[in-house]
Amino acid sequence: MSDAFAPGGPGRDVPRLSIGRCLALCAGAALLLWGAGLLTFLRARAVVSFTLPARDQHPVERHNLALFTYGPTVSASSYDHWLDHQHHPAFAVDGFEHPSPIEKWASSPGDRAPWLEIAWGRPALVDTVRLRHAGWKEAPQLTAERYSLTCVGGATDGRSFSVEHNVEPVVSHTVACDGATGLRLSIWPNGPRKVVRLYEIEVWGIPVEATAR
Amino acid sequence: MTRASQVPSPRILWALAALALVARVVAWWLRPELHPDELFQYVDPAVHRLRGVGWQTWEWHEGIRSWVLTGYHGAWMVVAGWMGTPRGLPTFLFLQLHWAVVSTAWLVIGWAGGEAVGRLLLGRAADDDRTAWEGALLGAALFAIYPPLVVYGARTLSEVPSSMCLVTSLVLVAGAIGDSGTRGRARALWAGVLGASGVCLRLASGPLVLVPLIWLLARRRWRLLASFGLGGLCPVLLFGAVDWATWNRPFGSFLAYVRVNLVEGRAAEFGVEGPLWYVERLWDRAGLGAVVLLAVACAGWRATWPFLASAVGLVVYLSTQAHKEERFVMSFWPYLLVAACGVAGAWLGRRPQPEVRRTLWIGSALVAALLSLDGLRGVMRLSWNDHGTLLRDAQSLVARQTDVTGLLLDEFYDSGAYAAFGRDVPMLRYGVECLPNPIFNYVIAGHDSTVEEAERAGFRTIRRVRDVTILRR
Repeated sequence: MSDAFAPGGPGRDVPRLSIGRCLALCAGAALLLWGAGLLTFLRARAVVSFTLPARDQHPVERHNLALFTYGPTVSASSYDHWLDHQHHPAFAVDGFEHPSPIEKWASSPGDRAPWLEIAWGRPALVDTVRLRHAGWKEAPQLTAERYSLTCVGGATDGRSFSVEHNVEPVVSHTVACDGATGLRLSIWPNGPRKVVRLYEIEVWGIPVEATAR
Repeated sequence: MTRASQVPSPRILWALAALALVARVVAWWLRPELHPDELFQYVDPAVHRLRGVGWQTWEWHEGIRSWVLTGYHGAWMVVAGWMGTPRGLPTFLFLQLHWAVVSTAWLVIGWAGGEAVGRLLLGRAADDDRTAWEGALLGAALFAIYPPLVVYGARTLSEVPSSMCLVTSLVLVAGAIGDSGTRGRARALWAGVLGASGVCLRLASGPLVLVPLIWLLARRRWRLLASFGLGGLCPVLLFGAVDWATWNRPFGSFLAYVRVNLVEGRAAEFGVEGPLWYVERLWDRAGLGAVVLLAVACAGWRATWPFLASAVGLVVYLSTQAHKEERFVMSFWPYLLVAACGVAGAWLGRRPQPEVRRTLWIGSALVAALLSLDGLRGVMRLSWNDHGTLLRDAQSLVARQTDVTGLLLDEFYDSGAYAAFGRDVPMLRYGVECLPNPIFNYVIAGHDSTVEEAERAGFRTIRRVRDVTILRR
């Protein structure tokens, strides 16, 4: 039999778990969670990356690996997202022959090192990259002058092809990416606070499994 | 020190808190009309930082917004993601629900406000332990259920936290004014912190912080004034530092706000209303109630003038501004309620006879119920589950489709931007010139002409609710 008046007995003065204490505990936990969320938010880099749903399968013959119908993953350092002219990076792979000035990828004015990366997910032998710069539809001086193309994945991962003093609005570059699963285009803006503009990127090549047959 | 008077059981307060929470959750569930700025100003920029997509408004382009509230939302959006909440509309609704919960704190502010005003009117000294609980209880009850406050609770707008901070600041000053001791100075310090926070969160509410300053000056409470100023420095420096980190200039958003809104007057580009517009809106919402509340509050004007000056001054000041929106004056209601509840509570507190008190309590409860019904009638005039809500639901439905590669959206400004669209594919304002682009395989149309144009371009209707149509090709 326990003594209610003994130290530690049933009559001891134990702290009660009141509604107020429960709420305070919940608020404390929520605050901790929010703090962790804030740290994650602060570390976010506003990079856009999305995978388009595939409408078609990659054919075995040479084709534009970047075309949106094959479901590429498109990533970009930024895009000009002002309300009335959203220059989304997906427009760079839409394969559209008659785009309006809106339907192009344009980097954010604050982005000093814009890049666009296309990943098609399966190894391929890439031989040509065709770019439709701003000069294709707009003033010639808006065409990107200096940029580089970098193979992503495969035996030539990181191999880069630099272009200087470009003036051509539509230009094809011969590259050699062996087993690449993607390609990165890095463009240097033509001047301070200038944005880079690109209407289309076409990455031509053959899937590796097709060459193995 | 005098003896403590009988106070209501904490159970009554918990019951009121539960009632306040239920009322706000119900209001959120019924989906009152949304102001586009709830999404465009305070949520979509956070979406852009987290997902890289968004619609940048001219305010953010000009840099007139602070990142503090948007960052606060951004952190909760991350937490919502951890909890498995899908991106887009569900995350936005999570944020709204969060504010519904947070705004339940109005109950505590109502309690403290009614108590502080009641104490001033009853002439209780700082060391008098008796709570002016009659005003406090009335305040808590009305703040729990008063419909204009309930409906404006679950909003991701700066008005909600700003108003809560500013009203609390004045309530703390009311509590501190008769107490120049340590407790009074601590209250004044916190009043400064909250008052400055309220202004920094919503710069247009800046004149409201003048009222506690004038009150302290008029009473010659120099120490309290110093504490108030010291407290106010903290949030000002914090907001300035955040601006420095985000806009590359200390107080960058504040300076840009002053230039754009006050010097260039560009807010007027978004609509100009007449000088009596706010009075008409307040009359629509709870005109009769406002008259009753004003009459009661004026009866104790010696103690309530700072609250009355804040409520009326806000309406007068904002009426001088060309661009008007009802949400700007939402602080009118809490200031008025604090003053009226404090006065009514003081009347009750002065009646020692139990029979008289009981009768007065029944009368007060009836008046409070009638005021709430009047407010309910007013908020029912707002649009509920409106066209914009339908557009955002349509965006959410499109976002759930696995084949979406691009969306064209009619009635752009009523929609929910990327905050309501959980996909990162292109989403543009509908234009017939965009229809040929094969990347756009969904259209949300708000007009029959749009439906016809889209159908000519190969789209087919997959869903129509009222006047909103979703098409796919």
